[in-house]
Amino acid sequence: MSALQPLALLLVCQLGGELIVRILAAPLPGAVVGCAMLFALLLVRGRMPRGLKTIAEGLLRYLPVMFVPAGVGVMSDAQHLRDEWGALLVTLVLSTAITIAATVWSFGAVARLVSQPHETDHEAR
Amino acid sequence: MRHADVWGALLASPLPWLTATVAAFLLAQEFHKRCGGHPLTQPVAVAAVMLVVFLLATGFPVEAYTQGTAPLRFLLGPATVALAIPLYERRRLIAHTWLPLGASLVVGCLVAVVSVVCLARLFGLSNTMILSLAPKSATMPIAMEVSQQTGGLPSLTMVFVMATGVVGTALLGPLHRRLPRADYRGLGFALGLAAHGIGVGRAFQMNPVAGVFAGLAMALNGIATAVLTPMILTLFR
Repeated sequence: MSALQPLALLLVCQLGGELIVRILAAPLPGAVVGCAMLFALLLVRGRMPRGLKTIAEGLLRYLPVMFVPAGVGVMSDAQHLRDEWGALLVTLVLSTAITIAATVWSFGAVARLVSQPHETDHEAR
Repeated sequence: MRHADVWGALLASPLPWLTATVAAFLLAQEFHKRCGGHPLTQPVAVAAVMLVVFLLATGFPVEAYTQGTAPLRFLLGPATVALAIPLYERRRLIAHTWLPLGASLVVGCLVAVVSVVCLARLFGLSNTMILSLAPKSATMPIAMEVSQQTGGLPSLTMVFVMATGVVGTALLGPLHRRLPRADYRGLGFALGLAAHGIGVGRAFQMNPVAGVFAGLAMALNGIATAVLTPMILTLFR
């Protein structure tokens, strides 16, 4: 019974998220609301339930297998990509470069503004 | 019972398709290892190629495979919920650095989505392409879900998300040289925000602090992308 609790917690959070999204007709994935709910629940509870970390790590480790069917889907329907791959590649490279630069810059600017000492090493275990 | 009956019943169930997918992935992982972890032998892509060849050779319809592997897609939901666990474990770090984290999360997420939508329009890409590109910096399960909801093609989004991860890690070197004042916290955060899981892996290679901030950025930007992308796309309609 207790071994099933962490799995139940993940599913209950996802179900709760899906319900909220449908009731509010919010344009959000239910699982993302479920993620926020689980985070809030953990904060309120103040400790990690036993086994939750194990099941979460297991799920995240096998994540790539879950993408294989989508890969099969895209390869059996690849003419979109064949026609426009040059424009797509330039778009992705430029957008990713701008994103990294903007994030590094804004992080640094705000960090200097609030002048936090660089002492996060001991916390960042 | 004749052979055809045995297979007919089995092929209507997810079991053979799931077995084939897991087997192909394990083979692809072994191949990736043998190739010294070359980035062009990503196990997901290699496994997909093997399965497409298998489907073409045997004449099984792709639809049968897609239906049969629905249980795998279902797992993406719980995997998304599970992102709360690494966030919870870093709660003190979040509370301690919330101002730079929050500011660069909002800036980074907006720039990631708006820039890719604008550039895609500039290059005259189709609407389906633009919708599939928009969540490309988010972690895969969230990006695919956002794409589905906003009218993109999740399978296309998957390709873009992967390409973004590879591009992001490749850009790290040149950008690092042009941003001499950047510390490892900001660099790691940017890498996880722009290039999700692949960026997190690269950040941990660079520096443990960068890795921790990259992991935070990946989870936070997944949530931010899910919230902001539909709004941004409405503005650009």
